[in-house]
Amino acid sequence: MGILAFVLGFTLLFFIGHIVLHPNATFETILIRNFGLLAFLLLHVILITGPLARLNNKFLIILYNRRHLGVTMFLMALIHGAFSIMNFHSLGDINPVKSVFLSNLRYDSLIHFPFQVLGFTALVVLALMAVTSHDFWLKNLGPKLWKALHMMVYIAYALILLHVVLGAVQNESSPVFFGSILIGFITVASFHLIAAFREKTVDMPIDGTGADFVKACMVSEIKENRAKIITVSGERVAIFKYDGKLSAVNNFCRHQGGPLGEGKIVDGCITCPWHGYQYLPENGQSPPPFTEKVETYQLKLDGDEVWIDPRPFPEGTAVAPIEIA
Amino acid sequence: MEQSISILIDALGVYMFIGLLFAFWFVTVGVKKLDVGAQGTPWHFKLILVPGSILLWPVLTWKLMAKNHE
Ligand code: HEM
Ligand code: FES
Repeated sequence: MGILAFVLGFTLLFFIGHIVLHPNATFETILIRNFGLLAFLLLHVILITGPLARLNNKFLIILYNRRHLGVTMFLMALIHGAFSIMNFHSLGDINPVKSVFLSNLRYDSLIHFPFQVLGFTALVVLALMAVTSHDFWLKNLGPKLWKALHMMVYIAYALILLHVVLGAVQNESSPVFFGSILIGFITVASFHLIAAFREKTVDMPIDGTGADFVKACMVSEIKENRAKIITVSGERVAIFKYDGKLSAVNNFCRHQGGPLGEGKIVDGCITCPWHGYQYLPENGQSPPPFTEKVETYQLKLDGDEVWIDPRPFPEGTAVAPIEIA
Repeated sequence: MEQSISILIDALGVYMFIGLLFAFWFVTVGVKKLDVGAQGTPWHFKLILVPGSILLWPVLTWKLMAKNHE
């Protein structure tokens, strides 16, 4: 609801502003600009919610709604793209989509590069993400492929950034417009850097390649019914402490990739902080009737030190929890 | 250059057309073979799957074949 109100409000203000400032602009031009900018703005919001939620739990609520934001953004971009194609490419006698690619052939130029092709490619990427946003796709494509698909949002962002900048260069837009794009980019980049830096100080990556067991953390670092997240051999692993025992599972929730290690043990189950999917700590399996499974890991104790074997067991493998003295 | 782009876009059109045919079959018949949970789900859930089936029909075909081999 909030998103719809925002979209309608923005559109109304944009049209009024545009008619006052540029009385000669056609309806289609305003429409194209309005929905292009709306999509671009929403994309920024979407990109910063990830790091924002890592820095402060209060923003998790936006993260839960990121799917709706994403689909809305795609629809805005689709309106923008469709009207651009109708407006600029459907008057000739060649296929309008071909016209996007062929009307400007200066692929060897930087400044005069056909920026609409970049927008088109980005739209294809956004479409792939929007159509697979329902949980059905996560389950049936598998978490790896699904995540790879949705990480392409960064490719889309790069393409759109170039699309907007080159489009603005070729249309000789105002410096204010370029300034705003730059500020947007700096905002997205710095939130990601801050979150990455914070994470790095929280979990120092451990290079576990080749070694049998590597040191993970101290028992005292883990709170009861909570976990510590570590990174071994490039994978994030959550080590949980509960009922005087320790168990380790892969940190990546099979629902939508939520960080299991930021969740709690509730009723004996690891409970994902994002939407509450549950897994048994001793085998990484969701309690019946659910069928989700995560990888498990072998731990061992050396005094107060927790050691981990970096090689994961297949998803859902039972591993005896280790007892803490 | 122009010709290869033109062929590529035609191929894209063919891909989408096959996807459209596939999507009709998938949401009515195929989806139940891939995911038993989809059995008896309402029509609007199946409608949501249509765009994805059009774009990702090769992946779904591959997943269905892998399932058949199990
Ligand atoms: C088929 C795909 C696309 C086509 C054909 C297309 C075409 C265009 C055209 C012709 C312009 C210049 C409009 C003008 O200044 O009057 C433009 C600008 C723009 N496009 Fe796209 N675009 C596409 C996809 C996208 C996507 C996916 C996004 C972002 C999510 C996007 C965001 C923008 C923005 C922010 C502008 C600048 C608007 C302004 O000048 O005020 N476009 N696009
Ligand atoms: S990501 Fe949704 S429950 Fe874990």
